[in-house]
Amino acid sequence: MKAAEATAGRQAAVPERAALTSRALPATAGVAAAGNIVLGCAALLDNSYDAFAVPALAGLALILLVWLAQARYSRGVWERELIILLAVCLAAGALLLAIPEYTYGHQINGIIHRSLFSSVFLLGVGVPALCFSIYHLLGATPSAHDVSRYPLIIVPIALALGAYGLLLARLIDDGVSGLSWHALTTAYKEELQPTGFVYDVGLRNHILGTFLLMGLTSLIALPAGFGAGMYVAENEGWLSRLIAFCTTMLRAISVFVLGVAAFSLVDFAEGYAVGNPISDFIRGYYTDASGFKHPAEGSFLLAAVFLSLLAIPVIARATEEGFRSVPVDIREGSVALGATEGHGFLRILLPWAMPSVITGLLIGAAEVAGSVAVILFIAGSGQNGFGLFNQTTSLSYLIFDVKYGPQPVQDLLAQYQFTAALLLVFLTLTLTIAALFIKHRFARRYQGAQ
Amino acid sequence: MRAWPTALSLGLGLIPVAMFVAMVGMLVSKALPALSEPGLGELFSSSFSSQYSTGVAVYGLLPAMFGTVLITLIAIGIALPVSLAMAVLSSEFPLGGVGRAMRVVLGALSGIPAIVYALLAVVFVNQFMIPKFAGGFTFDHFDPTAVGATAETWPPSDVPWNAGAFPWDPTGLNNSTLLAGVLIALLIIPFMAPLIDDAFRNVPAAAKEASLALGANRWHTLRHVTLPMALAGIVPAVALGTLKGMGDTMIVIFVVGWEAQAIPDPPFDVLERTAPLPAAGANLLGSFQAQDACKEAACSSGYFSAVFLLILALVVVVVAGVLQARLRRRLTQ
Repeated sequence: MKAAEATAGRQAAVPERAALTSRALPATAGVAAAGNIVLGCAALLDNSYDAFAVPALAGLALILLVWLAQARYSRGVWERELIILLAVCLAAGALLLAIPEYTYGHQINGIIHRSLFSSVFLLGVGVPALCFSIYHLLGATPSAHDVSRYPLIIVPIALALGAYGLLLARLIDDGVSGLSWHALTTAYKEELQPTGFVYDVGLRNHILGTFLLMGLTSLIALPAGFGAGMYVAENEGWLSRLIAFCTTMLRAISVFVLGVAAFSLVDFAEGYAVGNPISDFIRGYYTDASGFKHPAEGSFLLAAVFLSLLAIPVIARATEEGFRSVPVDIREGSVALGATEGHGFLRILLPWAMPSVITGLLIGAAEVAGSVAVILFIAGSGQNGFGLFNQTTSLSYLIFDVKYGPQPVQDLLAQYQFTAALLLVFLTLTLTIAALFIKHRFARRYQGAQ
Repeated sequence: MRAWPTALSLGLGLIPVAMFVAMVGMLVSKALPALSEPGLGELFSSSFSSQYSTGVAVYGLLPAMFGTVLITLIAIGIALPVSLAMAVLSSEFPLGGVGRAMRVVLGALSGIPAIVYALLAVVFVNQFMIPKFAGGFTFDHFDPTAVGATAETWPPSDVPWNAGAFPWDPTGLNNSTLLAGVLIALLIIPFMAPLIDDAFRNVPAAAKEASLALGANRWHTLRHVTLPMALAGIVPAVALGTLKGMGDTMIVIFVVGWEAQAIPDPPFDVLERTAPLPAAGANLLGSFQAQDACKEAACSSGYFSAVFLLILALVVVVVAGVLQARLRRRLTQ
């Protein structure tokens, strides 16, 4: 009985004695750990921060050591997690001291700078230390355990978003500088004059081509994707499964496969002369200054057919979701009131599914605008005009063309490479954000009905 | 007799089926000659050299297949943890309006096409690859004494310098497999994260609430209830990400190039250059040379690589489907 009282007394006394230090130490350790994380990110960006890595780790280790001693003194236990953290921290510091500034050889194809290791170590030690500190700072309760996991979630996200930020900053920086009225309204053209080649440099046909491709593709993909999605959502049986399988596979196959398929059609059409509809439809043609017809390598029409294979699965999936989201009460209600299947489709199902279909269409169009691999083998610089049977081109293809295209394109259009990318990103962002907006807007509109 | 909406949707829905079947048929018929001309043994041999560069054509696609595996592994290895963290922040560990804002940001990012990442690879080359993997040196300004070597001990004899990866070339984008993997990870994160988020949201609230009511905190609920139950939705999300990473063509053409001549040594040396299948196939079909250069055997090998990717996609879809069905069944039992 006395022993029990004594134990109770000691237990009561411990929080009082620990009260002063119980917050100060975790808080200090948390600040130190956060400092390590920040330094780790900095070392990832700039090699020179590598010099501060060992002092930072040593500082954190010192605080952890004091904390360990304090915990041993006030609670009479060796905190196992604290010991592990301390050991990892010391090991990381020792390793960093042992690693030379430049590591090479060892069959590694490069010269690895120490800052790579130090950023990995700083993040690897800092994140768990911060989690642990927050946990104890908030009183080591189950809900504190929840809060303490936030660094584990946020740090990788912050790193990824930082990477996106770096890329987009460069894109805007370089893209805006090439933006001019002249660039937007002039078409790229090379003409053989008696004095030599004369060039006109601009993006007009690339921009118009992108819009033409999006429009044509939507015309082909909307009915096909809508039909496929609706049939899969409304029917069961082997036909439904077949359609679902084909749209899934279309979504799953590499864009490269679509490009190769388009190329094989062009290959096939090369057996036909210019003027033959097979050649004109597939390969396309252009007319030179003397009125002579030349074959091209792939028409807008052909490109749109194969790009639509990219948009069909997106539209089909969105349509399927739209039809599946129609509540059973509403379906049964319309049937109970005597609506025929056609009437129910036109007045009930179609309006309900429409926002989803439009969302799918917009996202599909964005995907089409950005896709190069599909038209990789058949597109050109758009120098011979723009129309259904002209050689296909788009903003996204220009970026490829500048790197691997013919020489004049590489030299002349290089200045617009980032501008084209910026316009492309602007276009696709507009489309996807419009899609998100429509989805959100209509989701709210129909909430009352559910 | 079916009503007209069903008939209409069936008629329209058979269009993609017909297109898909026609496309597969065409590709297979074009690829079949590859079985006899280079032959299966040569196609799966581990050395590649093209007609244009060496004059001797050996169309072994095994190095390119290995490159595909390597790049996909790097990309998924980076993208999966980040996507999981994003999904958790968005649905399970709310932080004010951050989760919702992130869904919008991800939706916007998913619209950025691969070619833009390929173009912007140069940012990472200068910001990350050169400082970290080339010691901050560029090829033109390199002094062996700065890294503690002498002219005699440089270059180190055991390094495959001829493997062709130059992490320190700031202008040329031809870089290592690692960079391509990182960029492809950035490409697939916006696709995977919302799908995984949906998978978390589709876990019945009753299960989560039961766990919370029994005294588990949110982290334990996530680890032991939500995550296992959401696995049926996470598997197809990862499969889609894998397929997108496997099939990506533009990033790898810009960043790694198109020739995979041998399997790197050691095999997982991600600082070497191992072009994956789409890039190698594009090269065989002559997209970087005059189209007339596409010789018989090279062309059919290129078509073969496309068909192989198709088969790979089929395998991934089927495996993911089976896995998903099995996980679903386990949950409902």
